[in-house]
Amino acid sequence: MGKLYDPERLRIIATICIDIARGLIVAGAGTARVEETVHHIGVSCQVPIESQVTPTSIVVSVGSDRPVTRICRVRARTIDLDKLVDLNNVSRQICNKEITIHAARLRIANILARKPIYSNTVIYWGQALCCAGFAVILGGGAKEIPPALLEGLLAQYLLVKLGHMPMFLCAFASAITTTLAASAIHFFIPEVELEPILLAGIVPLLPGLSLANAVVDLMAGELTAGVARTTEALLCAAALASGALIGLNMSSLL
Amino acid sequence: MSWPSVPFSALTFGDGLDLILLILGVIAGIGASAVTFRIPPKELFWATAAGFMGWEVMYCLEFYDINTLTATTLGALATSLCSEFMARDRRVPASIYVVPGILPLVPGRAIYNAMFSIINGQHDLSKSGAMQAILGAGGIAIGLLIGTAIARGVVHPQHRLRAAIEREQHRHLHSQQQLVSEQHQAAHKKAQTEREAKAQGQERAGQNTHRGLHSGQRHSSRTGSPPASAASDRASAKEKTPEASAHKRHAQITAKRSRYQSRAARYEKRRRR
Repeated sequence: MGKLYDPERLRIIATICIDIARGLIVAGAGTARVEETVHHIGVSCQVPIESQVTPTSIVVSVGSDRPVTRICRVRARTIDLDKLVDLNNVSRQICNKEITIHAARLRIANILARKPIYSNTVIYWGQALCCAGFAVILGGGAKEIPPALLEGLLAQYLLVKLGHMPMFLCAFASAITTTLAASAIHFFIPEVELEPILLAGIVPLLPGLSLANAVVDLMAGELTAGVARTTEALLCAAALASGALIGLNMSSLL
Repeated sequence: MSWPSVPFSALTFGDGLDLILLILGVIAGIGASAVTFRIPPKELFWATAAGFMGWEVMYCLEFYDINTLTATTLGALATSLCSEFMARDRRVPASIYVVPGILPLVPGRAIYNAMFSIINGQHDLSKSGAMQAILGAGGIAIGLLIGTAIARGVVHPQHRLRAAIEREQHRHLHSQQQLVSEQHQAAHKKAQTEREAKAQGQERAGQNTHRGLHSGQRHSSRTGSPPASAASDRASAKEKTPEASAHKRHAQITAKRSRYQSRAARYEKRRRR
C-alpha cells in the first residue's frame, strides 16, 4: 500500500492525467468524456483521483492523504478528431492494463507532438468539396458546384489566415467574405442561383462540434461545461448570421 | 399518395439524375466535412454512413409532408443513434460520427428566407423565418439529446450496473467461501487433533496392554479396548460428516463464484467505452 501512494508515482499519474486531459480538450472532446477518462485511469492505477474539467481549465488531484494537484489552463481549442481517437485508445489501454503508465506517458507525448493527419492541401480541397456538396443539398444543380468549390477554398484560406483570432471574429469574417463572393458570382453570372451558393459558404462553418459536445455534457449533468459550450455555439452561429446579413447588405451596392 | 411507390418513383428518368446528384452531394458534403474535422481515414466511411442515414430519414419524412421540425428531430435522432451504436462497436468516441452527420440537417431554406426578409424589411416574414430556423436548430439539438440519452441512459449503465451486481455477488461469495473454508479448516483441524488424541489413546491403550501383558492384567485391557475403538470410529464418522459437507459446500461455492465471475467479465466486455 505504501508503494501505491508513493509521491513519485502520484506525480507521474498526475502528469499523465493532465497531459491526456489537455490533449483531449484541445482536440475537441466533451468535458464529461475527459473526466470519465481521468476517473478510469485512477481506477486502473488504484489511486483516488478527483478532477474538475471545464472547456477552459483542468484541475486534477491524485491521492487522498497528501495529494498531488495540478492545474492546467486551456486557451485555444482546435478540432482534431484523429488525436481524440488515439488519446481515447491510449486511455482504454491504460484501463485494460495493456500498457504501463510509463509507456502511456511516452505514447501520449508522441500523439500530442505529431503532425496533423491530413496535409493542408487535403483540408483545402476537403472544404471545397464540402461546400460543393452542401450547395447540392441546399437545392443547387450541377452549375452551382464550381462557385461553391471556389467559395470553399476562399473560406478555408480565411480560416487558416485568421486562425489566431477569436473564433467568432473568424466566423464573422469568413461569413462576410463568402457571402460577398456568392453575391458577386450571382451578379456576374445570373444563371447561378444565389440561395445554394450563399448557404454553401455558411453551413460548413456552423459549430457542429460545440453543439454535439454541449448536448453530451448537458446529458451527463455537466451544467457548467454544457452551458459554456452552448453559449459558444450560439455566439458562433450569431456571428455567422450577422456576417452573412452584413455581406448581403453590402452586396446590394453592386 | 401510396406509401411504397412514391420515393422510388423519383429514381426513374427525368428526376433520376437530380436524385443521384443529390445523393452524391450528400455523400461528398458529409465525407469532405469529416475530412476537414480530421477524422481518421478508416472511420470516414462510417461517419458518412451515419450522416447519410440521418439525412435520408429527414428527406423521406419531408417527402411525406411531415413538419420540418419533426423531420429534423427524427433525422438527428437517427444520426445520433447510429453514431452511438457504431461508436460502441468500433470503440471510438461517438462525436466523430455525430459532428459531420448533423450538418446536412441544417434548415437552409429557413435561414435563407429569414435573412432575405430581414434585409428587405419584412418583419413579419423575418420573424416566422427566424423562428423556423431556430426551431430547426433546436430540433437537431433535441434529436441529439434524445439519442445520447438513450445510448447513455439505457444501453450504457445497464451493463455497468449488471457488471457491478455480478461483481458484488462474486465478492459476497468470496467472503462466504472464506468463511466456509475457515469452517472447513477448523473441522479438519478438529478431526486431526481428535485423530491424534485417538492415536495417542490407542498407543496408551497399547502401552496398557503391553503393561498388562507384563503385569498379567490381560482381561481388563481386552474388555476395555473394543468399546473404545467403536466409540472412536463413531466419533470419526461423526467428524467426517461436517468435514465432507464443508468440502462439498466449498466446491459448490467455487462453481457459483466462477459462474458469477465469468458473467461479470461478459458484461464488462459488453460495456464498451
